[in-house]
Amino acid sequence: MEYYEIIVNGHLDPRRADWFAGLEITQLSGGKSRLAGEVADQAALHGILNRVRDMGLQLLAVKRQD
Amino acid sequence: MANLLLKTKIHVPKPCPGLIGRKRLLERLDEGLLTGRPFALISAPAGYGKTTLVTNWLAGLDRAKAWLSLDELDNDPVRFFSYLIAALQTIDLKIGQETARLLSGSGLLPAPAVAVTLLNEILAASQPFVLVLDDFQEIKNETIFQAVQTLLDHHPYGLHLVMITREDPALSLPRLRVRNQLTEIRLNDLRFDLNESMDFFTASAGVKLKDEEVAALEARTEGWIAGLQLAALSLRGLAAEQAGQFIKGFSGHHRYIIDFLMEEVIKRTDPRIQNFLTRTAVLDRFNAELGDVLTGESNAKTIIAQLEQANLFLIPLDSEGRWYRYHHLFAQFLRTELRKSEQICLQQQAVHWFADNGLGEEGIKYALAAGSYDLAGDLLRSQAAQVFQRGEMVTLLEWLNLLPAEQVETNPEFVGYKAWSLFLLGKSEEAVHYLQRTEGINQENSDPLTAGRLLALRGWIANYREDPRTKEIALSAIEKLGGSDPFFLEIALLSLGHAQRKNDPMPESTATLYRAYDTARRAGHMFTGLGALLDITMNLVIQGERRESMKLCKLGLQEYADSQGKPLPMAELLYIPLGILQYEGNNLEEARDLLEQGIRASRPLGLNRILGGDAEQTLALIYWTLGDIQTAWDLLKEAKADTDAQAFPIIWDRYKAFEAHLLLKQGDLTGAMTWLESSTLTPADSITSFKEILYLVLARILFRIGRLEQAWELLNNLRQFDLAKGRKGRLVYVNVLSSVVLQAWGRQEEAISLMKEAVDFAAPEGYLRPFLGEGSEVRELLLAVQAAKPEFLTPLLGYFSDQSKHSDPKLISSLPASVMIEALTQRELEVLRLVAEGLSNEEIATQLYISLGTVKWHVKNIFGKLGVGSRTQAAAQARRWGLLKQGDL
Repeated sequence: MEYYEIIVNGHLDPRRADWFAGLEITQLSGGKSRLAGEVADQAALHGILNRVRDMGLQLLAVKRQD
Repeated sequence: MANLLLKTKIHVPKPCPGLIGRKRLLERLDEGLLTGRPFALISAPAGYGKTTLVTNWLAGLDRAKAWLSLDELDNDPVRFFSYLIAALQTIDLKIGQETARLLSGSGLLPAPAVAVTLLNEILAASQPFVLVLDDFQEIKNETIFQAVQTLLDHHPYGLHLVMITREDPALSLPRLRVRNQLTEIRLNDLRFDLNESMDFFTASAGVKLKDEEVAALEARTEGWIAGLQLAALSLRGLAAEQAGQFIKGFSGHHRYIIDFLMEEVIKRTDPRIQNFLTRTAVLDRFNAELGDVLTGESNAKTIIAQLEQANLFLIPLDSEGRWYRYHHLFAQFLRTELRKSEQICLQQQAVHWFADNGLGEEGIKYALAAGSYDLAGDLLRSQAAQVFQRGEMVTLLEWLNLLPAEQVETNPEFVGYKAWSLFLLGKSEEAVHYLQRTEGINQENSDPLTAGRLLALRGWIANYREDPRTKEIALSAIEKLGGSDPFFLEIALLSLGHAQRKNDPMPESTATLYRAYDTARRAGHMFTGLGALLDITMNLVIQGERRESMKLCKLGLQEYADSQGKPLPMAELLYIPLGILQYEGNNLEEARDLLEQGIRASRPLGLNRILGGDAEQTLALIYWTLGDIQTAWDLLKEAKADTDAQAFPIIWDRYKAFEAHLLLKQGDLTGAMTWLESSTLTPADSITSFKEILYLVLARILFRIGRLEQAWELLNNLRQFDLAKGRKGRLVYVNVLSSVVLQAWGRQEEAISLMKEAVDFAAPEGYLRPFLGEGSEVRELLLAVQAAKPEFLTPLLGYFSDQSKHSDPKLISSLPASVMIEALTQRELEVLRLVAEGLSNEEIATQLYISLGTVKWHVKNIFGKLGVGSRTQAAAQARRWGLLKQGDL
């Protein structure tokens, strides 16, 4: 398991957590949202990024926590 | 197969009424088509109106069009190709017929063969057309990428490919850009600018807004069309003041646009409609019946009509108004409105409906998604045979992988499917391992059919791995299967035939292969049928049945041909045995052309290595005999470089021996001896089928260095071997060489007797090469037996004096041009248009300010690329493929 943090543009409803493999959704200032949590593997991470793509969200950052 | 395809996937969507025309983008698409660019890529995130743009463009386009909407299941190449063919057949029923025939046979097929066949069929299409692949981001499969890349690389002139995707595909886009073969429309092109937003709100949305209000909306959504459309929906029916407030609220918010706006829209819809929306959204597509099943009511038809009228992101998937889906963004929002458990419950209800309505495969998808494994397993049992026969191994394997391991391992049928899928997908180690691991579990509880299939599978894999138990396993598979499953019977028979070829008399192997061929023909399995035929013809070459083998080759070339009588790419492999047989009859030029054609056909199919190098070696011999020694060596070098010595040690050994053979022919005894010393062969070895040719080379060397006794001993071994195994096509070589050796040894009578035997055998079958390639001594021996068969020997002896004639390096006669076309350059297109207008080379030179020589050069290249021989043909071809368009405008 690896811990990832993904920042997207727009305030996401925390209800959406289900759709991002259970990542925790926090609304940040400046109209951004953070999705953070443990990701099973790289395939799971790409699944989440695809979801970001499919929702038309703008991807601002992806960071792995060491 | 066709009736099982979902028609909704190949339905060309209707243009959206009321949407503002996007002139600049439509013009760009037009320009790409008319300037002959083969490919248009529309790449942007969801909700930017990609599909709408292309649909509206198509509606105004006077050209045939095909559409394919992709989904994740299309990552199975066989399924992908089946749908692609179905889409293409909406234009021309002939396209893809042969490719579809190739696909029959349970996935046992190299993917490049499919791409090449389809490419040729597209080239033969009756009219130019546009093919749209929508939602291409769903495709992750490497094989499919390669096939699409092949299509683009060779771009057939009739085809204009439009790809709609949310992410750039793994194709070589930079190369296409550099060659100016790509029209690109991306996010920044698609977003609505301020003017378009204004037009949109006045024209389509029926809302009267102030300019600054539109500007605020445009800024907030950044021209994202889905956002603007939702905003228009939210504004519908609002008074000017309320509208102003709404826009202010929206602009001041940071919320994800879809969440914010959808809530506004949903808030204002009838609760019954809300209920319908959230429940039907759990499916990727639905119809009125399913709507009623999921809501437990009977008003779905009315609601669907209301939704369509309100323009609530409902997308019809066919022209009969039967199937629908929601816009992806909308569906995603709706799905968050329900709890996961509720969704699973709804999906389970849908599974039953799908199963009852003949859509079991769709049912499996939801049963697996909902985690209803018993239900999924039941459905799989009823569907697997069909999916398997269509060869959709990727799909089958994915389903089996989603089921709990124990459920699969305790079902012998599933085990068979899983092992076969693994094997075909290139994971043979894993397949063997899987079969071994599950062997014990399934032995008791499997019926003869299932047991037979498993055994056939084991036999096939054993043969592939050169396992000595192949024969035994294949035989018990055949016994268990009886006549119950032709495909697995073919597999078992082919394995048995290969195993018999190694150790048993050749006629036994050939008889088994004939059985495989007949079974495959009756079942309509093209790949296994052709494979068996190829094996039979190669067997007959060795058995010395030259005439029968030639007959079969010609028959196969006719049987496996397209509607114009052109052999299919796979069938072109038959040119290889045919070429070898022509070589045996000393028809050297013809043999050379056939072999080159056969080798060329085998390359894109990835099969050149499997055939063991016979084609390349015979071709090199032909060049050598024709006096082109350099080409012979170049060919050999190239073929060797192509052979992986580690993976195919036997083929490698044969190349090394052949090299020594050529050195010996050149008189380089030292070179030949070097090979002999490095090899581990001795005259006393027991002979095997595949190594026979090596020993023949050894015998030649022993003879040339004067070790006559050893040579004779070895040749006698070979003779006994060939007699025992029915290898008369080889025996004739052994006889001729033996005869030469015996004569040198002074055993004249025996020499003449063996030569006579060779002649008696060779005459009716027309074998000439065994006599012509063995040196000048043969001539004297033939003269001694001439009285016996003058009608055969007189012309044969004539060839000896002709040998010098063959040594002239001649120009290679031109081969029929392959239909695979290379792209014409811009300049070649210009020249072609002028040729079509009837201008002479001089006139073209003047008009284009280039030299006469350059024009001639271009014309020659154009003819080559178009596969034509005259200016009139070139013009006709150009018209057929729409290459003259620009000139016409």
